[in-house]
Amino acid sequence: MTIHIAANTGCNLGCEYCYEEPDREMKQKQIDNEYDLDLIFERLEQFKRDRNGAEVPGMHGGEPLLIREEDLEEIFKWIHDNFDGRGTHIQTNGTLLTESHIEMFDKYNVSVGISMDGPAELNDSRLARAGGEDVTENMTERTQDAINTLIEHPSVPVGVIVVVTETNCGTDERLEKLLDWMDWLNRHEVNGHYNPAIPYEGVQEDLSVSPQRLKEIYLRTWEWVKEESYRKWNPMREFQDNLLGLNLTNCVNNKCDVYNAGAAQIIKGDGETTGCGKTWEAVGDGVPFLQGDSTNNEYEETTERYEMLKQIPGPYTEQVMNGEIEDQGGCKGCKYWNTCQGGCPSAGMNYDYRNRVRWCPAIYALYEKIEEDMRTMLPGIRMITDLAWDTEIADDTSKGLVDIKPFAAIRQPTTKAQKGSVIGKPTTDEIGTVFDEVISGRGEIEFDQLVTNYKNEFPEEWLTIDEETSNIHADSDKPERQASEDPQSAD
Amino acid sequence: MTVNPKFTDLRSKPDVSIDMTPVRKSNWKTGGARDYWDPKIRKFRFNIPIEYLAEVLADSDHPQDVAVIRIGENRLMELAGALGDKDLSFNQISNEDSSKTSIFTQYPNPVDVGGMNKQNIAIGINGTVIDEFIEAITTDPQTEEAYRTAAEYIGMPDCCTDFHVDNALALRGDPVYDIACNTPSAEIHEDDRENVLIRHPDPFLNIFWRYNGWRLIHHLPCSFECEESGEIARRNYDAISDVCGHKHEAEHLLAWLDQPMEWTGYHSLVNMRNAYGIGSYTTDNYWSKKNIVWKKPHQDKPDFEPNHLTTPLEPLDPDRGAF
Repeated sequence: MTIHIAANTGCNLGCEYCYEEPDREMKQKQIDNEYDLDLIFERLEQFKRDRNGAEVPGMHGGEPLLIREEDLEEIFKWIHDNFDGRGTHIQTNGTLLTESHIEMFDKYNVSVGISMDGPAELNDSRLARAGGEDVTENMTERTQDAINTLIEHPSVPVGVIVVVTETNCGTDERLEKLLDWMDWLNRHEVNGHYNPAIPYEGVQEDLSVSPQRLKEIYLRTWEWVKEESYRKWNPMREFQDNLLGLNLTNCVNNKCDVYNAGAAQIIKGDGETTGCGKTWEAVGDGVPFLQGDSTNNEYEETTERYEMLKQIPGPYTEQVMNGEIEDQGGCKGCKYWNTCQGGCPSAGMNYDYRNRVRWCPAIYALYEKIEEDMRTMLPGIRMITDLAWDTEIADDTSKGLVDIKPFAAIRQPTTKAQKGSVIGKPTTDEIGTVFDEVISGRGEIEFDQLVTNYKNEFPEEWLTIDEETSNIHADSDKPERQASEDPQSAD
Repeated sequence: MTVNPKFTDLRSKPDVSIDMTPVRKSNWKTGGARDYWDPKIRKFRFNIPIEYLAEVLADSDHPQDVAVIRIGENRLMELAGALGDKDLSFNQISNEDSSKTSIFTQYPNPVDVGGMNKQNIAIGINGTVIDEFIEAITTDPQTEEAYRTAAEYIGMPDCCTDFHVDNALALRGDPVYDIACNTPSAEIHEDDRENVLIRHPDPFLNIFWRYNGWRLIHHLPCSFECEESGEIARRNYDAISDVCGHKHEAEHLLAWLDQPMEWTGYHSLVNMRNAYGIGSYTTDNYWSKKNIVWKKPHQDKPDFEPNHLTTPLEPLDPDRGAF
């Protein structure tokens, strides 16, 4: 869950795959960096108050380095002062990065996420907004220079987002060039992740890789990761953690409410709030609709897409595998349900968020391969997939409450690279024993803990507790929660 | 011309039941849209329906004798006060599963007026009528006779009751695709009867936003041009506007309902959009995606700046929209 300040949606690049482009085309004048700092701070104050200061805001865009440097500093100073110097972040294309910015980032504990699609020759889809090929090449050089400069400043952590397209991953030759570049990044303690370009109906379909190609890319990258111990890349690393129940760090695995995407709570330049830009096309019309506070809703209010997908037949549903019915676009029966949960709604099959993610074949294959390798290396290892596919445990893993010993205890300490904006948060000291409870049918845990669990699940008046015989019972004739019968609105 | 809804028979295939927690949601597209519309039509999610339904039910000339509303426990006293003034009665529809036995209690059909721990309540002209209505809607499984009895109390015209018999017995509570296909001005793309354009619908019969209380009829019409339903909707409009004194709100509700919009239903979830907002609610198990365009494709976003949203309401123009 992250609060992003997107003071402007304008950008000096016009990447062919960018999901914010439709909005820019409709609001050309907002490219001119229209924002009101007072309104932004007013909303920041409200978010800090409402969220008890738990989440540190970061800077996104558009291209955030387009806004005036003194305004950028004012925002970072406010964040620094109001969040006790806890680290914040900025996501930028890096083309406008200066030494002055880096000094600012160092001063205010800002980590940097850079968007770049590989070595220079793989960045042809990352177009300059104005000018021709030469300008695009110049922009790419400037981004590479920004990464180089940041590497020379170890006090400012940096991570990289690589958007996966036909341009940089369409052939094996291009993929190998990309992997060489990623190797260079890793050797300089810069980590990153893949972000597959999402095709929208009739838009960038040629640019987006097919699910089958993404599967090849993921599997090849996993083999690449295994070749050297210093190599780390996501989602490969995240998938290992997800299988171990350590976390569900990535929003795409974590029941995103496509109408109120809490993973990216965005404050716009006019102080209004919206959510992840990928949702704008999925359920809106490609322009940012209001989400969260501005529209009297709560972020991550409801999970109906996931309630639905879990019941809809998919490729791993017994009736489908038996040929009795056709795949209906759901996830019923998938053994990776608790580590994927249908994936990003904005990348739903057939351009519809009510289907599972179009990348399902790639995600499933990567999970399957990682699981196979981990079980080969560590026979007897326990994973989330040891549970029944429909066990209700994903919410616990997303909160960091699951500990499949001993792996949570040996999680790596925070490193420079892990501080980057593209790396998930480390596990906390509050890890519980939910997995043990579930896998043992909750029979081995202390009775007091069992009572606590039941009280968390059911209203207390529905429980019958017999302490003498250590028995507890919830009246099954009644619905689990009265509220569950109600539309989950913010009335 | 009416369109044969050839994909209707696929609604029950495959034979997999989907059990969804009712959900309703709405997002404004812009702050300007929110600031303009919300103060005018938000009250239809709360107090205005209670007010005008009391007037409608108390009107002996009005065909509707019973209404089903969803209301929170904390608002029952308010309801009792409003109905008591009109000598009307109400009773809880006690069967907790009643929403799964009748389309009249099935989401999103009850008039949802907000509150905590909501329950379905039948309100009506007297206790006997309410008891008979509740008995009809809680008959499990639903029979045609029981459905027709309940439909009469709700005030459905015969044409609508006849049209929805099959939907009622199959417990399809949101058969808007069927209604769209049955609308005389419906147009389809060749060989694509899942995409329906309703070029000249009656805005009084727009029931797409009813989960938010934004509606003027309380039954499922047989078409979006049904004349008898339109008459009832206009009487309800008059009750809101003239009898209850919410003229300004009624005008804007009608203007909202008249906006070009798109409805899609798929996998038990609806996505709706017009120029000003988007929305979603839980619907029937549409196993293939159904798409309905109301009047014409809507604008992606308002074509005016927020400061211009004080434009006075203009006469309705079916080709242009209200603004």
